[in-house]
Amino acid sequence: MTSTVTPTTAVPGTMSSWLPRLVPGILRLHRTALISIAVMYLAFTAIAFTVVHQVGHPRASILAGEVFNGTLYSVSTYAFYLPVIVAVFIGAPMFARPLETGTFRFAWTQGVGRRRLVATTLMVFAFELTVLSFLLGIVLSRLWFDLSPQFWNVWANHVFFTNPWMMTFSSVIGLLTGALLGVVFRRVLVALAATTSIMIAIYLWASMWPFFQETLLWFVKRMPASYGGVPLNNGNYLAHYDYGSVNLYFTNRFGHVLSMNQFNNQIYPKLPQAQKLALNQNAAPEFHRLGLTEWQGSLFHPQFHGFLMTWIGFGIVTVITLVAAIFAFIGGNDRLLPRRR
Amino acid sequence: MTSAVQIEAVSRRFRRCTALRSVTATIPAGSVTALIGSNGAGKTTLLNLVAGLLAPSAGAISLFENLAPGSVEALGRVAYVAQDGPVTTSRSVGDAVRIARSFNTLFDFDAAVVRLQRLDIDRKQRVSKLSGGQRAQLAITLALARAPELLVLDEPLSSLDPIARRDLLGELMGHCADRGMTIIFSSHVIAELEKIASHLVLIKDGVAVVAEEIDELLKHHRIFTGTATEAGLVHDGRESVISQAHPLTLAPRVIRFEDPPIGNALLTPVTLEDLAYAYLEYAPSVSGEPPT
Repeated sequence: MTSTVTPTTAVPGTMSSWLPRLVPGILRLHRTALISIAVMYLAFTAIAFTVVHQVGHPRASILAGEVFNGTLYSVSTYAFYLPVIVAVFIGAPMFARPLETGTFRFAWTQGVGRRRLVATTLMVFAFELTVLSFLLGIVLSRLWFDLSPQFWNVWANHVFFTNPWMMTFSSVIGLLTGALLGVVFRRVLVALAATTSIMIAIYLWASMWPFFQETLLWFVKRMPASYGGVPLNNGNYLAHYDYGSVNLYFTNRFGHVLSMNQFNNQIYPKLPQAQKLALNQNAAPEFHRLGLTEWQGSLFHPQFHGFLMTWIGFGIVTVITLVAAIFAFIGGNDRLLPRRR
Repeated sequence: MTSAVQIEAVSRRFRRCTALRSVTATIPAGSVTALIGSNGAGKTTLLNLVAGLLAPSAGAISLFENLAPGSVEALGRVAYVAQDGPVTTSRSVGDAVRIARSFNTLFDFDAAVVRLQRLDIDRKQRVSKLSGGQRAQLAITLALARAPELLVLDEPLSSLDPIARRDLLGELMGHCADRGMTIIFSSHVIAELEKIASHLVLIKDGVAVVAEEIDELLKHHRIFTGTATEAGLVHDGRESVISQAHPLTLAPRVIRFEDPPIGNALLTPVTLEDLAYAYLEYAPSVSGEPPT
């Protein structure tokens, strides 16, 4: 057998010289994790697709008043938790395991260099998650919204979290969160536990408080409004006030901020019946007549959903922050090495 | 003579201890350097610094005159086999070879396959199922397939049987001669180091007490066996006694002479083993922080 040292024809150090070689190695190294992700997401996509398919054409099914398969519907709602699974079982061990077992000393001393290796690993996983999450999100969106008349309520977290954009960002953020905690703790079990706790906290946080709306109004304000709610003077749309849980705010004539819930509890019951009816039919002018004006940013209900838009804004910032944090730990310094005892 | 590794006043502190204190050494290109030291002396820390896995707390290391350890340029020319030969354990041997190929722009795949066949390591076997010796051999195979200019081995012999040790040392010598490869390796098997090493770096409590060419070291050191009175006959005022024995005993002492002594019946030549034991046991350690 002849000895063949595989040469590179490209200029050493350029991306074309190492990336095409590196990706197959990453795929081989992380084969199990990548296949697991594909199986999970495709399974959920298939289930959601089956529900849509069973019901038939949405309009037809709505007109016919068909009852869709409740079991499959339930399964589809669990897609909400896929990013948590990705974070805990894929992200956390991704770097924690080689750091714990010491095999990182092999990987990080190879010719490609540790930064390229880590960056390409994250890119491969992020690409897979983006494609599969978006696909799943599209099918679930159709499930939730096209078939919405058959659900008692689509204004629920599992609906918001599983649209294509949020599903994608949640999955990638989950992966990066797990990866970051893996490099921080350097132990698989500790990273698993920490990631589980953090992801649960994020989900509770996202569900309980509309923090993201307040944090990233920059994105919210710049999103086009086409939400099918009540039109406002500035061209945006107001969600029906019954959906006060999505956090709409007003300021009254004294400049005090008033939440939708406060309005519903404190003002609405005191209104005369005629005004209540007028409010139900044409909210915006009635609000103005009551001396309530929209509070920039919080009141608007932009395209798709304000929560979604802020989540994307939050998502972009979070992804950049997490990647920077991971590289702060692995790039050029040595805090990852096991400490001497 | 160009240097493959230049270590200048390198110190490395960890949170609770100092592993290396102002180590200075030059590893010439094409040399085989043995790194000796007791457990916890700082050998692995020094090798991790050379491989770029650690950064020095003070001082500087340069590879091939001007490359920083851990840089992509340096990693393309350096192969490191860490202690226990860690290779990705969840995959098969064949996968490990292909992964290593994709992680390096220069990789002799066929040579790696041939070496594994010669060592009778099944490529379908999972790495986690290999014995310690086989895993070490796999790691060494992957390192050699990269045709590195500098090969850094952390205790490569510890898990190998005597035959494998002999064969590996012979193979490494061959690579040195054929490719001009520089080798640094740490080991506790001093007798075998003597067969191939041209340079010695001896670390005690984080301090490099010896960093010289072995031939020069052997030339300047002698064993003295005699009484205190006889000791006066070998002293010329410029020597230093490395291994101290009780003045009343006839225990042999290793003495370093500034000028190589000639024709003194009280002195006998030293072996690398004598030298290593003398320095490891008797060379003064640095006061202050406790040894790590």
